[in-house]
Amino acid sequence: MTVALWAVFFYAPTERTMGDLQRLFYFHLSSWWLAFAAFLLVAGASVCWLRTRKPGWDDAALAAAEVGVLFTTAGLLMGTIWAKPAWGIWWTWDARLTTAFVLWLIYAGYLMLRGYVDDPTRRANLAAVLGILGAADVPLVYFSIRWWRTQHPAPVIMGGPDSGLHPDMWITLGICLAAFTVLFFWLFGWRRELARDERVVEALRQRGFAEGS
Amino acid sequence: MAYLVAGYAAFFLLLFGYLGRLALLGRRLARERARFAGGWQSAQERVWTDHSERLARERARLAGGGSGTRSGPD
Repeated sequence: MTVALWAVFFYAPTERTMGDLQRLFYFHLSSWWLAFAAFLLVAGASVCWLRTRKPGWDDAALAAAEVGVLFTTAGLLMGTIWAKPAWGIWWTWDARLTTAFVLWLIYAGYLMLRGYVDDPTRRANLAAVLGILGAADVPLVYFSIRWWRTQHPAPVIMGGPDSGLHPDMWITLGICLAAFTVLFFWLFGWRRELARDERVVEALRQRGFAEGS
Repeated sequence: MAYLVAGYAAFFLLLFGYLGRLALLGRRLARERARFAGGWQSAQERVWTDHSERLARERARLAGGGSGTRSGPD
């Protein structure tokens, strides 16, 4: 992360139109890519849970959803802070921003749902269904700027002949993506372990295990 | 420049907030583990065994229940 920050602030060249403000791009984009990966992981783990009923998959789905919501929140926040000086407004209900906000709502709802259902199996089943259905919004968010004209700029990566990045910007983006990937898997692994412990504690409580037994 | 700093500050506030949440959750679970003391390992194994047994019973019930008959009180 330190190397990524150094690259963002000292290595990447200053963009011609937006100046230093464009440096928000590296963490903004990395947050979103990792959020997308997290929600696809939620869907994959949810399918595995429904097929195998191994509790480890439910733990993985929960961990990925929580870290995904973290990165989505970061992406949305950095986006609005970028929007104000760039567009003159904090927020607008265009296709990209709306689908992105809906994605955040779906998985925030997913985490709330998990908190409301007491029975662990029922909770895992309901969450798995929502986790799978919610992932359908990921391609919608991704392609929204290609399918519709939006306030959000057109893609700079794989966005056609007029798109592209300076080579040093590519290197900076690569460093940030690598740092975010490491951060993601560290947070995911930690949260998954905690989810496993939480489930065991919950099961022991439900069975009325004697303390110190 | 202020917006750039605000954007990165927001990111790190969120990240450290989440790390704090995980640390607190870990501490709470560590306390729970201490409460269950030496029984934790065996209890953990017992929970997995219970889950597998319940799953096996459920599978057997589904495999045997294809005739449409119902068992148990209405």
